[in-house]
Amino acid sequence: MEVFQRSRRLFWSYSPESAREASDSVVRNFLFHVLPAYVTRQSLSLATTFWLGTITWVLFAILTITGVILMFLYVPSVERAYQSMKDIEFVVSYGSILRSMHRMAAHGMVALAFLHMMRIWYTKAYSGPRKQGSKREINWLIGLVLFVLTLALSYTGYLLPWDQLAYWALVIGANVAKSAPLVGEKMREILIGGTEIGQNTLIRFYILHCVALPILLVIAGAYHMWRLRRDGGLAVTDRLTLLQDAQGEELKPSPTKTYTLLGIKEGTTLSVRSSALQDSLLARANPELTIRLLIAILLTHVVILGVSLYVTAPLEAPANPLAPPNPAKAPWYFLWLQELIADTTLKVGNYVINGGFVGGILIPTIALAVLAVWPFLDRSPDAAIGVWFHRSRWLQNVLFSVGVIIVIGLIILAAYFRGPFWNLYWFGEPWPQVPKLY
Amino acid sequence: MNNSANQESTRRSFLAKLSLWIGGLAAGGSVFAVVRSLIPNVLYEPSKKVKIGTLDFIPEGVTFFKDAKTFVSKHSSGGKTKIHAMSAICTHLGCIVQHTESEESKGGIKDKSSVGFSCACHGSQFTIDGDVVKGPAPEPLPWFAVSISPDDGQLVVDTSRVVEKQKALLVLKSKHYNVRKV
Repeated sequence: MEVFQRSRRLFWSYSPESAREASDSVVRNFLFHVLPAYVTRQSLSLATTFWLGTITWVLFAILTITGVILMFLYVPSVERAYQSMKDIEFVVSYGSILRSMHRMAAHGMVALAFLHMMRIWYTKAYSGPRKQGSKREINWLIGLVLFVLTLALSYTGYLLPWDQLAYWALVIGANVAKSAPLVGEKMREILIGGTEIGQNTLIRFYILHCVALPILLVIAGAYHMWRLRRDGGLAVTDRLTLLQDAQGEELKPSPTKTYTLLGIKEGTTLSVRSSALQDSLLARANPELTIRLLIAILLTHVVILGVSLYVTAPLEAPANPLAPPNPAKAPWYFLWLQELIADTTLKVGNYVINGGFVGGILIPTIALAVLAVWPFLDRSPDAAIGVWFHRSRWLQNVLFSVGVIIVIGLIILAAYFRGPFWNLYWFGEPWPQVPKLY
Repeated sequence: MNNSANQESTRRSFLAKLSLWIGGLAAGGSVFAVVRSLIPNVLYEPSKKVKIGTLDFIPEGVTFFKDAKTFVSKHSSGGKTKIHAMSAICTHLGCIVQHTESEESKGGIKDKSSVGFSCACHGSQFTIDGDVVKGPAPEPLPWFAVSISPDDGQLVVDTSRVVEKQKALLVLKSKHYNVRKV
């Protein structure tokens, strides 16, 4: 036993003697001070969250670190961008692995942010008990902003290699912006810095990708985490306090001050209520949460590094403004939009509305708006909070699932059944030879 | 603060309002400056008027001209040569369309509804005159003005000037080039 205790200290030397010491370690440590002193045991359980939000953050950290290194190696100039990508790929030591890690983590971040959103929906984690003043709906809105920022970062990121994918994604993206009524023309001009795609465009998207969007994401993300603390932790915590209330022992919060965005306010946070839960339901954040965080960080890193050793980030032929690839396909997370813009040009009498506007702007905006207002209209009982697939929400869950299935269906259609000239081909049906261009 | 319904302005409330206005103007002005600075005043872009060579060097039929991103069609019969230029930029979302006219329709009688150009990005198809056959393109491919440069006799495509469909440059071959528009 003694040997075991000693060997354990090789890996994890910290083991608090008392509850006081455990909470002190959180308060005194710069890295830990975003954590609460105590969390509910259920928050730590894998099936509660699958750690999707945490892993999204870890992927963002990997992206930041690999991204900064790639910035040393990449030249944001139309003449040299593609060559510097080739250098990263074939000349720089471990450059290919770093680039792969950056690309794989980016794919992962889009996927996990979306899965995280699905988890929030299916467990009704976007609302808390209203009478306690919970404002989880705001965090759902911030989450939508973060998801859009993640997509924007992915888009601006894959433009930088200045290969065929980059160039034609820019052409299509800029023209989607242009297809908006009234402001479209101006929007396109500001986005690409002129009337044609060139150096102005590249430097704009480079700054957006490396400076503007990451800063916005960090600010919005910090607010996301802060709100999570103010709302008392994960939704399962709300469920526990509600269960406690239902047993007739109303949890009395101790009066305290609490922080708002721009000052200190009298009153209580919800976390004060949840920390009044009985000891058996609670766990010390350090080491119970910190060690799990460490495992999540290490495993995510291992998976991303492992995948990057075997999968090289794609790099197409250098940008050719005269010939789009045939078929020209967006990355998977935009394929459903590409399928939509190809199918949604509407003819109303003599008017024709460009599919770029309908599928590229109108439908995504409506989808986002519906998602944004949904928690405010959701009238399902508080008992559904923090429970996977609660019976009272079956219809909502079905509707949401249908939406997800439509998106995935469109992605599969565009990925596997679209061939040259965007024609439909059956799976495995051979594509015709496309004439070589110019 | 006065808690009565007294609307009288004091020095304090005046200064408060004044500083709000000045602060607001400064903030608004800065935002405007930021946005305005991102709209370029000078564009270092290639000219929209592109010389494509003298008439004799342009091949018969449909030819793609890279610098103008334009298809130029030339048809000669007898002493007359008809030339017109049509944009190669898809009206849907701006990809370059490809000349995909079939060999049969190139040779013999033209079916006006058959496909002349196709877009790789979202599958729009156009006739040889640029009208939409199928796909998401909302408008036909525009025709551009073609003229003859007075200095060296090269043909000039002006991609900033869209002309009516079927408006071609007709060149009558004689001892001297005789040019008129139809």
